[in-house]
Amino acid sequence: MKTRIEQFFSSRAVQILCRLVLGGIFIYASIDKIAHPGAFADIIHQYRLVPDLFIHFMAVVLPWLEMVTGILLVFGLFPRTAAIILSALLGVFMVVLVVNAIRGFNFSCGCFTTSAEAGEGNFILDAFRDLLMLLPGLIIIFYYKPRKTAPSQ
Amino acid sequence: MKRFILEACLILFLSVVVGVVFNQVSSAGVPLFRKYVPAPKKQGNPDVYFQHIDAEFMLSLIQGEMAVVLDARERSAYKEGHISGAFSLSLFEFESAFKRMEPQLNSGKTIVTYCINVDCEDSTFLAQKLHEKGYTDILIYKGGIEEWQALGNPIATGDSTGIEPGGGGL
Repeated sequence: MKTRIEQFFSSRAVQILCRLVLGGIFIYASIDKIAHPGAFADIIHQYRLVPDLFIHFMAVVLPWLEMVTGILLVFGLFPRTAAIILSALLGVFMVVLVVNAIRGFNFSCGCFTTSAEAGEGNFILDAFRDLLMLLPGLIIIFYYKPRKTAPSQ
Repeated sequence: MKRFILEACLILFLSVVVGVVFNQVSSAGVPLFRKYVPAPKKQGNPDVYFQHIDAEFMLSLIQGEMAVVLDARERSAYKEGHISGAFSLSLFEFESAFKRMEPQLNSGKTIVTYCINVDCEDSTFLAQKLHEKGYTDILIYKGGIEEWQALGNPIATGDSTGIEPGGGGL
């Protein structure tokens, strides 16, 4: 049974699907933030977790980290490392969302859009969504097997 | 483990480099190494197309090259001394000055107007005229040139905008 699960998750089709889903989501999520770093900086400021001196730097680098890592994952370059980075980001986002839900904050999380028209968010739902997004990352981290090349004779 | 650290550092380095370069060339770029200063809260009335800002926010906009700053006073007053980086768009010769300034006004940057001090209404009238031309979300620095100078912030003279990197403190 265990071998069957392992075989299923480490199959090429499942691995490619996970890479495309996770990488694709992060590429999509980064686009608006790359286009509007000022608005993303405003959102980061609302979280009250990052010192003001680092907000602009984070508003610029974080979306590009998502984009670059997403592209690498989609194209199968450094897949396990890319999956670890994106899963770590998801983990941090979930913690931040839960902390702010406990604090009673209520604003758009900035996860996919920086637009003020996105309105107020539900941080618990956003955290649950991030938990689901963690699944393809974990599948890649634990079941990815690099393809072995045959030794030359 | 070693391989993971190497690959992670490479990805992070690539992201930082690409991000910094893109930020520099992008018209929507932010001042990377300057302290974040929150924008003033928008007023509740949607018909209000402007809002007032303070000197600290004004300085962050100028140092970050994120705004087109307009001096609403007469051109002679502008030449005697104006906020460093500001352009002259005098109310008294609005139409001709507006034609000259149109490329800068359409650059996508935030528009800020100012005049002498809190008692001067010219900055508000200029914002109103710009709104009639179709511009919205205009900022007005009510403290004016008097407050700016009193705080020791950069001043330029003549026709030059006199944009200087860095500049005086508040």
